[in-house]
Amino acid sequence: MTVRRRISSSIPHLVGFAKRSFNSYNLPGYPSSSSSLAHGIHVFHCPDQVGIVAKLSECIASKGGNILGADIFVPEKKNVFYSRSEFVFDPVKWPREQMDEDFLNLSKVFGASTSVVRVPDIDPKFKIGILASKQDHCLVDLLYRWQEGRLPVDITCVISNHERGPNTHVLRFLQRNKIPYHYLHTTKENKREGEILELVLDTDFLVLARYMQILSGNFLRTYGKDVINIHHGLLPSFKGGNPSKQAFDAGVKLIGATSHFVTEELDSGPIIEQMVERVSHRDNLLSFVQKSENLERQCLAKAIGSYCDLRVLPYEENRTVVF
Amino acid sequence: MTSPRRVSSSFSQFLGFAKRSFNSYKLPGDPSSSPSLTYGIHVFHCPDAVGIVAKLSECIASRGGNILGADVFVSEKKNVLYSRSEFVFDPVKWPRKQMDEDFLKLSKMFSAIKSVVRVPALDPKFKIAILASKQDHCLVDLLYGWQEGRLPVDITCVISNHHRGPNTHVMRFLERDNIPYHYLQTTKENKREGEILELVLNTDFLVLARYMQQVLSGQFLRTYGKDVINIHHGLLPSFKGGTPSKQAFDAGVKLIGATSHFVTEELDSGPIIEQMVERVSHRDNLQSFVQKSENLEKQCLAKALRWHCDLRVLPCEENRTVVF
Repeated sequence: MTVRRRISSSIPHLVGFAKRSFNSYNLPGYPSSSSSLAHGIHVFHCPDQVGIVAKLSECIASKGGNILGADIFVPEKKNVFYSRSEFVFDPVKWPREQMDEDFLNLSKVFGASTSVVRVPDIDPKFKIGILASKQDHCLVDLLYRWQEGRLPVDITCVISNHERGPNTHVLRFLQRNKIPYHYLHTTKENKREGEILELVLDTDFLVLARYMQILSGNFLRTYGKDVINIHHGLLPSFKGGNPSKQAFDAGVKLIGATSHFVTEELDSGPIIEQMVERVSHRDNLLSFVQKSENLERQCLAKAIGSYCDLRVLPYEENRTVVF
Repeated sequence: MTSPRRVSSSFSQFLGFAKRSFNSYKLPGDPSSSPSLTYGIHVFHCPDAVGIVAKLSECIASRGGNILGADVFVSEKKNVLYSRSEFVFDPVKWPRKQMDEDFLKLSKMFSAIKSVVRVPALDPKFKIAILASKQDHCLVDLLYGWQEGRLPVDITCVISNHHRGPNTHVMRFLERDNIPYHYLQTTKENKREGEILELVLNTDFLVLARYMQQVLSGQFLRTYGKDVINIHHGLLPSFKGGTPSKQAFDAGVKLIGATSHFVTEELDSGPIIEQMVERVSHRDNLQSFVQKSENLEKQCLAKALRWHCDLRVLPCEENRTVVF
């Protein structure tokens, strides 16, 4: 299914289609002529004008690619354009490097601020470093999902300011899977940021899985790539520590978790995903915390999943488009 | 269905049973001998002790009342008991005044902080006054719900600091239903609280349906002395104060909400009764934020009012509520 030509993108256009899964799509047939189609994703973010969708879809079609789904978004009154397309193509007819070149041309034509193409089967997985502290429910959940193949990343290392003995569940898991664990004890004076930076230099993004230290602006600028955090509260409520207790004392009837990009300001970066659960007088602080931990796991995993799927794009100063 | 005797209520006990509706329950049969059973609700809030549930249920049973549902909650560390029972009874066998007396005795026995019995079919409806400003989506929704019989109250009057012409939807509605509308313009210096108090003296509680006069003073609240329920168009404690939709929009949240709560001297800080959320995304603009918010406010406020009339909302500790 291809997107129609000449769709004007100067008006708000919300086009969503069914999404397909990410397994390679093999056509049955004789080995000599059977083509093995691969899935590709392309995201594009540029100043808005007439003809972008036409050009993008023409580019894909001209190389024999077939668009299976697309999301286009042009916000009201803002002259910017966001698009995310999923397509299948024959890597023989459209080699990976050629694809990069073709999309690069388009990004130049439209002055794009983001143009990313990704072919999950061919491209290397995202490399991530996970930072955690003492609380390990999120860390364990991520490791488990990764093991199940539901988290399409390579975990380069786990860094923690909490020491774990060699016989703990986490250490044994990491050992079995040959993922290094770095214990970096932190103090008020020394957050070990230099050492952390060295350990994560070759990662594509970082995940703070209830890492209880604030990363400095200096760190973030030097690292230069995205850092995703899970906050155990419904931002902007309950920033900072102990949001469960804050929520409990406030007598709220809903508690939540928020996953967001990390910025210099604590718990204030662009929000990716939020989830809630009901609480009542029958809950005590313990059940508040338990419900919260459950939400944090789900919310963080969803955010990382969306991010790896190239579904999350920066929107204005402090928001996100999540397709 | 009667609760078993000697149920110890000194530890956390959560008993929930099926709830019935509030229509009078009539048994078919010979008019001369058929009893007409009526619904009653009793709520009780007292220091915890062994035997409370036993005594309460015995009281009801001894008068031929049949408990259809009950919620009992004992707060973990606080040693207080909350109970709400729904029962059917024969008003001939258990006259209304006798019922009051019987429960009063029990409340003295257990030094109850609160003991309220209500027979919706016999007792007068709750009298409420609604305060609104220019935004009338909540007001209109309440009026409509009331007209449909879904809001079991008597609306004594509507008070507003916004002038409405005689040919507006609201005014015509109120006229048709003989509900007075009082336009009391407010300024920074004069909130007209004295006049409002006079108008609402005989109400059982007040509803602020997007009444935008910031804070009702502590003086007003103390003088009025009864409950005031407010709807806040945000998920408290986020976005207190004005334009929470815009605040939420700028913050880039993915969920927006509404909160109904009891009014205290501090703005948007009283005990929360109910909260609701809805998802928002990049596809929402400020207008759709506001529309979704208004929808939530209507639902959330209406729900809080219904619960309050059902005696489901009880104060819990300093700033919380038990909502059965």
